[in-house]
This record gives sequence, structure tokens and C-alpha cells, in this order.
Amino acid sequence: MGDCDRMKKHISDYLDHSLDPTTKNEFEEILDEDASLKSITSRVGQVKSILGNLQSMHCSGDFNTRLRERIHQNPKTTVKDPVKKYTLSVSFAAVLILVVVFLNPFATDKSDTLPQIPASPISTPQIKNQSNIQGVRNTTANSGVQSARDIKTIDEAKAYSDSTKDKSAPELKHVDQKEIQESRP
Amino acid sequence: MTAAGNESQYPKGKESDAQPTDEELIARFQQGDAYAFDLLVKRYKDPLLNFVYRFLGDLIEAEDIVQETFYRVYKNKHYYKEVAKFSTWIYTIAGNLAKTELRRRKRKRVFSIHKDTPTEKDIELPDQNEDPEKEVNSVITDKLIQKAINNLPSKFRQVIILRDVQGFSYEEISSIIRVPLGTVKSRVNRARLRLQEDLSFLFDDVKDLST
Repeated sequence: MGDCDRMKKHISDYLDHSLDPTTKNEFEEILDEDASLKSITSRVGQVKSILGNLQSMHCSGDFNTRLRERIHQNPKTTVKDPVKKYTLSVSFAAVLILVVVFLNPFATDKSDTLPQIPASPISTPQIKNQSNIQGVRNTTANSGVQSARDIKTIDEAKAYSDSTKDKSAPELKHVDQKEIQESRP
Repeated sequence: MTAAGNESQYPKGKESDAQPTDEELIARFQQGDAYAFDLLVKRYKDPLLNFVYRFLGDLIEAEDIVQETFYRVYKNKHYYKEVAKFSTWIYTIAGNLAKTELRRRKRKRVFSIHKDTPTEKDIELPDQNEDPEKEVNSVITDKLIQKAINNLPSKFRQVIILRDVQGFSYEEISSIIRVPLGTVKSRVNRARLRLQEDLSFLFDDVKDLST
């Protein structure tokens, strides 16, 4: 009985002549000995034969007419148009890119901030007299841009020199042009 | 290739090799040849009807589904690519529609207060036997077989019809229902075993009739 159960899975392959020779020999050996397997195999063969000879059905006479009528009612065929297919996705992608570029929520706006100056341990004194602003500008050869911080008043320059006064170094003095002219012979 | 497999290259209802192939016809139809579509309809309407009828057990519903299948082929002709056989494509459409109908019917049955099932409807069979007694026996046998097929789970029913009624090869069935080849073979075997159990009384009757 165990052999019969084991061989049941091969019945269709045996009837379809698609068993490999080794399994086929084994199947036939058991088939000769096992009446149950023989009976089942015979019945399965009959089922196959009956199903193959079932009466064939035919469509009704007006099948083609009805089909034609239905097609004429709605004759549009679904055509694959690659342009239409990709237009929507391309336009969506474009809109998405525009949104990301112009309304990027993660980016911070730095257009109105000044370039960072290295932090100095010296505190810059407050400007006391706004009208005293002179053209003391720290313009360097490399930097073409002059920022507002580069413009300093004379008081500022003095305060800066005082704060940075090094005892070992000679004192820096603001020399006026008039004094230079007077000191000349 | 098995004996049945050789037959299965040309499922029942197909015409001879002298005719243009299905793939040639659908290619012509895709280019606007309406006559090619008519030839495909002529070639496939009866085989599809038999497939769907054996699957659903109702001839009228089966014909409606075959109509719908051809309508979809007409509408979606550009979706067919020659990588697959036309028969595989059209049987896949018909099979999917039949399965949808089966699901719809199951839902309807759940909510319906009527107990009549479509399988209990009268089936009109073509008059092929001259002997009335044989004819009656044939009709009864057909009904009993159809009932046994209807009792199979749909996944077994589909493969057994495609294999033993329609004559497709295992490979073609695998392509149609998109299931691995080994699974198809296993399902066919199990369906046959189940049918031989369910129809065991019929084999005795057949023997009696033959004596």
C-alpha cells in the first residue's frame, strides 16, 4: 500500500509516457504486484479518455453578429502611445524638480549674510561718533569686495591699536598728513 | 514530448497548417486588417467556448465570456507581442474572465436566498447520436462529468480542462496560467486522481453500457 501511495504521483506521467526509464520500470513492477495501483491507473486513464472525448459545444449562430454589433458600438481600440504614456510622468518630474529647486525647505537662505570673519578674542569697540567715519579701509590686494566691516572710524582705529598694544612693539600712531607736511624742512 | 503533447500543439478547433498562423493573423490585424480578426474569431470561438463552458458549467455565460474575450482582443490588439503564442494570450484572457465570473458567482451565492446553482441548469447539447437511448446516456454522462469537474477546486479545474479537454501541453498551460511547470503537472495528476474517485460509479455504468 505504501508503494501504491508513493507511485500515485507518477500515474499521469506514466500515462503521458513522460516517465524516465528507471522510474517507469519501478512503476511497472509495482503495477504488476499492486491491484489497487492497477485499478487507479486504469481509472485515471479512463478519465483522461472521457475528458478528451467530451461533446464539443458550438457558439450560437448569431455569435459573430453580436460581436460585430458590440464592436461597432464602441470601436475605439486602446492604442499604446508612448508620447501620451510618458507625458504625464515627465511633466510631474519637471514640476517636482522645480518645487525642490525653488522651495527647498532644507536649504537656508544666506544671500544677506556677510562672509564669516575669523573670531577675534578682541572685542570691537562701539562706534561713538557716526559722523566721524573716514575712509580708513582695510583694502587688500586680493579682495576686491569691501564689506561694511572694513570701514572703520579713527576712534575705532585708535581703540583697536590700544587694545592690541604690545609693550615690546613700538607704539603705532596715527599720523596726519598735515603733520607730515609741517615736519618736512 | 508526450503523445498528448503532440496533439496539444494544435488545440482542438484549429485549422490546418495551410492556413496562416495565429501570429500572422494577429500581426495583420494589428496593421488594420479586419478580415484577419474575423479569421481568428472563426478559429477560436468554439475551442474557447468549450474551455469556458467546462470551467463554469453554463453555456450562456460561457458564450458571453467568449464574446468579452474577443472584444478585449479587438480593443487591446496592440498589447499583444509576438514573444508569446497567440493561443496562450487569448486563453489567458478567457481564463481570467472565467475566474472573475466564478468569483462573482460565489459572492452572489453567499448573498442569494436562492439555492439553485448554475450547474443545475439544463444544458443543451448538440444532437450527434441517432440512437435515442445512447443520446440520453451521453447527455447523462456528460452532465455527471461536468458536475464532477465543477466540484474540483478552480485551480485543478482549469489545468485539467486545458490539458485533457483542450489538449494543451504542460508547457503551454504553464504559460497560460503563469504557474511553474512542476505545479501544473502536480495539479493535473491530482485532478485526475480526484475525478477517478468521484466518477468511480460512472466507470461501472460505462462497463454495463458497453456489455
